[in-house]
Amino acid sequence: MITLYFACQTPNEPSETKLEDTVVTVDEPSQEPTQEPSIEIETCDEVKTLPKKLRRLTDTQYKNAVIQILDLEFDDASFKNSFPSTIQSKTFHTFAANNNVTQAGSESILFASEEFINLWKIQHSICENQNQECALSYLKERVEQAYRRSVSEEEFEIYEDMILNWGLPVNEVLPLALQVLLQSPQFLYIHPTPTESINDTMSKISSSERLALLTLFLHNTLPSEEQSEIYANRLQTRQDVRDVAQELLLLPQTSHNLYLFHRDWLHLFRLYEGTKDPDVYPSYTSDWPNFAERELELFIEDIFWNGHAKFEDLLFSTEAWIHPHLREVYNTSDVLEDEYPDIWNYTSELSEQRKGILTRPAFLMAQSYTATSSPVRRGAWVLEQMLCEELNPPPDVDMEIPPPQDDAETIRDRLAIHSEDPYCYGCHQRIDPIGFSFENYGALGEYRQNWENGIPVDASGSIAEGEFDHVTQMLTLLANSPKVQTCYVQNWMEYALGRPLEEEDQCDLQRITQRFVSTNGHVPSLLLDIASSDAFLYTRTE
Amino acid sequence: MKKVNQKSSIHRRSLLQGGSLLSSSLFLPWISRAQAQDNQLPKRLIVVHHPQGHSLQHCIPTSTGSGFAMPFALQPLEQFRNKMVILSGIDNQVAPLNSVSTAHPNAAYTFLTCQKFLVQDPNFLTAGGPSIEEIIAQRIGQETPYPRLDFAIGGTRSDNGIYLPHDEHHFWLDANDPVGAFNDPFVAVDRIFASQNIDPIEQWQTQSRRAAVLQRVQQNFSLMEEQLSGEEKERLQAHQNKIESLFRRNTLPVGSCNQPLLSLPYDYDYTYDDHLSAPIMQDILIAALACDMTRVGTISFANAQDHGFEWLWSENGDQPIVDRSRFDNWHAMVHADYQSGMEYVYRWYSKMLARFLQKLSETTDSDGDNMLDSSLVISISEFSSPRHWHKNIPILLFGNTGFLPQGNHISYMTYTLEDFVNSSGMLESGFSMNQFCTTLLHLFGFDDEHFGIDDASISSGTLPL
Repeated sequence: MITLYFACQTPNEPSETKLEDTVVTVDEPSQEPTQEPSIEIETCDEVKTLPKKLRRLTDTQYKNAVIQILDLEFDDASFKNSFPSTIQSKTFHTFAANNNVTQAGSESILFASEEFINLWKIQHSICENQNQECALSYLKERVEQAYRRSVSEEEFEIYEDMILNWGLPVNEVLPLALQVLLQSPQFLYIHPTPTESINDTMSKISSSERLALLTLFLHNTLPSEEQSEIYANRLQTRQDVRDVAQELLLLPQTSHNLYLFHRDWLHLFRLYEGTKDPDVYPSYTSDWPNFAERELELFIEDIFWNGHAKFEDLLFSTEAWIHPHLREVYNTSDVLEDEYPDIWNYTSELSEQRKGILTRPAFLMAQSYTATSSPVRRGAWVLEQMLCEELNPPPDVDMEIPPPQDDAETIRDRLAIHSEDPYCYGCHQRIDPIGFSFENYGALGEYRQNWENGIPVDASGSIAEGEFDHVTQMLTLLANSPKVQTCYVQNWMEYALGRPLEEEDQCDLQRITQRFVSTNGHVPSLLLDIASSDAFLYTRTE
Repeated sequence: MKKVNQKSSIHRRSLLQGGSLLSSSLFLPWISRAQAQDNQLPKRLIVVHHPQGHSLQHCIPTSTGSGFAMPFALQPLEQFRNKMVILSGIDNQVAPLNSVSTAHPNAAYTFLTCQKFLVQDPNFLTAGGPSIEEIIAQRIGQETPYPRLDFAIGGTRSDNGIYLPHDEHHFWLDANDPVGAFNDPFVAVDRIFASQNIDPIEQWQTQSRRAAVLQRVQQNFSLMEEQLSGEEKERLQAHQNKIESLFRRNTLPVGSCNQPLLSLPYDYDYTYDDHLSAPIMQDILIAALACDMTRVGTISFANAQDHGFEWLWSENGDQPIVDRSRFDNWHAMVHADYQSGMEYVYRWYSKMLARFLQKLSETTDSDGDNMLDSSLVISISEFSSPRHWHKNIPILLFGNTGFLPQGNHISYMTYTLEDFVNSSGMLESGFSMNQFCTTLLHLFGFDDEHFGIDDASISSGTLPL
């Protein structure tokens, strides 16, 4: 079935374009993700001494939080935001290392605070009567919202002193105090404060900070005033946290976060690392990575909001949104005729070769080179991101594969030569068979029967789980592997906690994985399990 | 001729490593910073970096001393021959001490820090400490608004115009603290010269308020630090140090600078149009140096992976530099040993360097001194050959090269270049980047006895002449 969506969206429009405005015909989407299967919550016997890693808010979290705290009307397109960009890398963007503050970055934070406060001054007239009490009251609320907890007298004294003793009128000093707030580490860094001790090393996190951890994880922002009022005192037990997380999960803001996780998981940052060879791909433009990402975002939205929200859907669903500019990448049977050149295609029955997230242009384009596919990148991605296997080449080993030559016409031949080096063989015996299974897809993700030189593609191979002829078979073998499910859970936990898992996390990992398997890979349930795990309830006592 | 005898170095090193109380000043004719006349020490340090090593046969002269024939890739620098020193045969001896990672982070994180990774964990790669230009910036740049200014040519786009790659950082403020560089020239000009376009009273008010705000921010940092320990505390302190630097900048008077005018085509793409970005970034840095906005600068060519270098095709017989039928990208091409066409890219790096030197030589600083003669400019890459070789890294120095005799090729190679290439870059000279960096400190009048890792296997002290 192909449904038409008349796209108001042009190639230059931001991805926030609302498709619901453009629908001609479509089944009414459900308004919430599929319900969680009813399974009892299990926890680890005792709370371990969990690692604690100071991490800065991401660029998105900062922006969303400032908008929330200052109650700003915000337009991305017309507002200059100097806040340092979060690095997109092979690790999740929530990790501390991707949110380092450089020297220039600290100045960026200063400028960002000034820019946001200038916007606030335009949009709000607070304490126009120049009353200092009014300013202190307004400030106290913002500081507590930004700090995600109540503030001590000593902490608030810094702000109070500005209002009372700087000798400036309120309309001048209040913006300066807010600038201090937006640059302060208590706001910029996620660092739950220990409250009541539960053992020698761990303490409870306050209810308000628990709520903030939940909204930062699920919505990439701080709790709204309303949410704070409703939930802040409700988060006393693990079940409380889970119940609130369940309610938050149903809100539309969750959708984008689901996408951000998968964007990182798939290493889509590589989409922007280079262009494509214009001789081989003359239609390609620098917008294509954005289009491919948008396709993926819509795919994920559909899986989780309209579908079964299962892990296997990610890997095997035949639903797709096809951007008009990317039609040529797909099979002709999957796309509309040329007389509808500006139309997004939706189909629920994409052809067999396009099952799931790993056979769509975004992933395939990212894990390719300029003019050719890259079985090494694709195979390495599967090993590292789906199987959580470490690929640690010997230091300084020669990573480049030999160029085409007479006795090495295909990438299989070239990699065979490369693997003759014993230093290379160790990794490539694992990478290459998996990578070859993707060889039916070129550097844009276009399906192909033959390699560039006309030789028929051989995508067959074998892994520990069995033999395969092509990528869907390979993925079917992997999808049933407990290792793959554990790895997906591990990735989500690392994303949520903003750090790699350590030994102390293993108990939570095992239990959450067991539940994930028992729910047949129900992703919303997984998020709830993570949101109600020890790391969201307790913190290390300093 | 300055061919160096390795034995003398070993003797000297053993003296220093043996805890000798003799200062290394006995071995080199340098002067301490305190003793130096104003015009004897370089006032500034500029490090120009290009990635992926060199085409060695087109870069290292075949003879030493002053009469060397300028290699093909260095020919654009001919006019600066008499203000130039070429060093060859210097090894990154630290890189092989790492037991993890691929060659690129291994080279990038070690060649200027002269330290191993902080931890030998492929998932947490970071340099072991600050790179040499940061140490010099901390010592000569503290009186200026910007202790250092960093620029990247190319690299990825970001919202705030500051490039911080996800790996392969070459410059480090400290362990875990890579340097971010301006790669959008509009942002750079806006940031560095913003004060030039504002009424002085308004500027003073802005600075005063920023300083006051930053002071309160620092108080908040101090409060939070009390609750932290170990690595977390260090992380926060690193951020606070930058706030401190920002605060100081906002308390310093701003000199009068000639703000460079940006004239770029409408379709200019700072992530790709390196031939347009390089001159602009050079001009911005020179303008900042000339009005003592900074005394340490870096310019790094950031497009190391995949680039077409279309503006060089005409020099390459109208052929693309990268043969896409054989190589996936520029990186793969340079890695596959010398390939025809590579030399034009390396020569272009020299051409851009020559432009920078020319502009410096045409500019005087606020003391009226010629900018080239009063600055030390270093050109370096993290590899020698792009085949990931850590040994025999060529280094070019220009301007005030101190006691290093100008117009010379000083070779520390204890082998011929041909033998070195035939050995696949395995021959060792016994001279280290640690020694080069220590020498650099001495050129600036500091009497450090060593730089970087303190390890018996690493040659330390200064380079012998």
